[in-house]
Amino acid sequence: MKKLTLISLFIFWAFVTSLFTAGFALQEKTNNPTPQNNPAQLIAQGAILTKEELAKHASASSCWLLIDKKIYDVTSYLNQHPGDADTILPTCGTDATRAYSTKGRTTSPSPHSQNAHELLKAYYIGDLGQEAIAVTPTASPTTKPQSNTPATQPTAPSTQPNTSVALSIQEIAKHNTAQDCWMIVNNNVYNVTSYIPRHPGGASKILTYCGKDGGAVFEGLPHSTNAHQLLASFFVGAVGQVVNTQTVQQTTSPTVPVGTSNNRGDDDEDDD
Amino acid sequence: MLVQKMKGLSGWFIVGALSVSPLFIWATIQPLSERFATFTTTLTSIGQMLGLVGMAMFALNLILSTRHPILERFFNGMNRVYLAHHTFGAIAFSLLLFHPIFLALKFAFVASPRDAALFLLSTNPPILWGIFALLSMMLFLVLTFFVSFAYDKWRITHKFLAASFILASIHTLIIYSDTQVSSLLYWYMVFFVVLGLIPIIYRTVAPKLFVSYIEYIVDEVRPMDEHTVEIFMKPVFKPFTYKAGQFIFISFKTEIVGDEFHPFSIVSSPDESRLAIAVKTLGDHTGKFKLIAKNTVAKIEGPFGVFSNERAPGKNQLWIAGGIGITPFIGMAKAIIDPAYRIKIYYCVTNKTEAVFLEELIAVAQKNPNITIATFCSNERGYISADALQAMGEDIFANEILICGPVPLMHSLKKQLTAKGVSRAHIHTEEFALR
Repeated sequence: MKKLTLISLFIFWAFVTSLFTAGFALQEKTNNPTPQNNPAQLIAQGAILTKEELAKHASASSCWLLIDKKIYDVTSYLNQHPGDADTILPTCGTDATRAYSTKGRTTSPSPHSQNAHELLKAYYIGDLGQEAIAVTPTASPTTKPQSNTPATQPTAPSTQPNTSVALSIQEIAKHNTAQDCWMIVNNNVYNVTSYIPRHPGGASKILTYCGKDGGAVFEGLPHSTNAHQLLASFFVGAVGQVVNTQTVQQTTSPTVPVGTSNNRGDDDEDDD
Repeated sequence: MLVQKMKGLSGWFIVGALSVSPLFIWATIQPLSERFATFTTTLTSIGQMLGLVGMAMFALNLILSTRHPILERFFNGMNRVYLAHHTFGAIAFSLLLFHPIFLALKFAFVASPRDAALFLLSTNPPILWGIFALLSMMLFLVLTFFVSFAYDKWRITHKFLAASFILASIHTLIIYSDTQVSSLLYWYMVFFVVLGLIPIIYRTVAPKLFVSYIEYIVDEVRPMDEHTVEIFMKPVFKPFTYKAGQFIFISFKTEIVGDEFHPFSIVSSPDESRLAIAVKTLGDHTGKFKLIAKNTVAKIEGPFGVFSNERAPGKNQLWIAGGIGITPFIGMAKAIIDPAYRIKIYYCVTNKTEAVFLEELIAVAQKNPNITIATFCSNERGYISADALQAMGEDIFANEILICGPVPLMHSLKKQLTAKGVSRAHIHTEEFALR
């Protein structure tokens, strides 16, 4: 039995060692700044992001961070930060590169996780000294789907006004009611309004996350493959992506057949 | 005999079945087809299963370490309870080591190896408890198995595993998983946590409240050789009843050897007025037992063990002892009064000077003509084997064969005998490995 103990110990440490080696090798790769491929770059708002402009957004009501020469508007994220809003607030309106890469620790610096990097991308508004290319609270497009009036919706897509909406964090946050509920999971936006009353875990479980990132909870709980497929059928677009309001309204409509994932295909067309 | 063998297996079966039982609840929470739907859900599911089974087995294994007399019934002797304790302990530890591996693998495939590495370094409190539990378990098990300590120090480091169990319990009960989704599974795991805590309290915290000891005082200490000593004791109040061939756990109230409990064979027969034990120690305690003074008080727990000539159906018996494995046979030989017995004892040692109990056995054989004794020295004739027994004219098929000695000797001899066609029902061994 000592042999079994020894073998298990060996496998365990071999696994941990190789995982950490692979993990660190990958970390070095991701640390090299790579050109952003964010769909948010598609929008140009025209404003120049200077240090002066950055400094204006130094409060909880509007918090911009400069990280690696990129500017992020993390206002809506403050209350969701696992390390508390208080740890971000002092760096609002300043260069937070160091604070972000060390989590503000001088003795034992600890980098943010890959998930955090991915999440941060969603709040990207532009490079320092460049034009703002994503939506900011002051320059947000006001197009909002009229989800509560599906009956007035024109049936022929050709007559649909060709307006578009950018899936910014601010935009998503507006859809925070039982009548209009958007949820972020893995950086994708889903319109789950029609599903709320049918959720086996109770409507309240979803309502908490309307207009917010419910990914951690959705993935953290044992959701079935069916649940995943169902969620896919409510897909609106990726965070930061610009989508046609038609798509938004289609997914908002409770008549969309459950279990199909056609919407994803529609969105691809919209991108073109 | 078959019934007894089955009895010995029931303990193994019960512990095994109870260990996997949380999986039956786990399987009802979500359909298995979904749990194993994709590669990554399968990794998660395996990780969860390993955690649940490992934790249940850990708790049950603590029960096995209590030396509660009732365990003997299920495992056919306390020595075999310890054997099961070793086996289940190693299995539980391995399962628990693989538990985070599978969950980390999921992260490596879903996200990246870096995320998996970060998962293993998680500062999320529920995960952190689990990490501490595993690291402490590794530390204490490496200390117990791979660092040679004296028995008393070994026992202390091994006791620290109770702390690992408590850490693991906290992890199990607060981790956000199926235990939080299904209250049935949650309470079932609470049951195992309580089950594991009982022996910790029973043994570590308040043994005086739960375990009844019998007190004896040392009457005579007779050194046999450098490592071996025979200790004779008299009861303080009432003697306890035992059968020849059993063993006890004993602790002497003296600083010479410390007050830890040690397992030793009884070498006296039940009808003798004094209780005698044979003590062979190595390492730190070498020679110290012979310094135990007369009238030292000893606390005794037991008796334990079911190794006995009476459990073998036939009365023509071959007793094969390797080294200190002779001890249970001494008491048994003294206790034989039935004239139907025909017993031949082979006392196997490296050389004659090692056969320290030979004189005592010869004295017994002189009183009882049905017992004959022979020594078998490996420096002259090699290790004892089935062939050697046959070459000396023993009929291995017409005798019950009782073997006690080092584990390799018992295993090889048992293998040779069964290879020659001797039925397992006629081979009786005393597996004695408490470490």
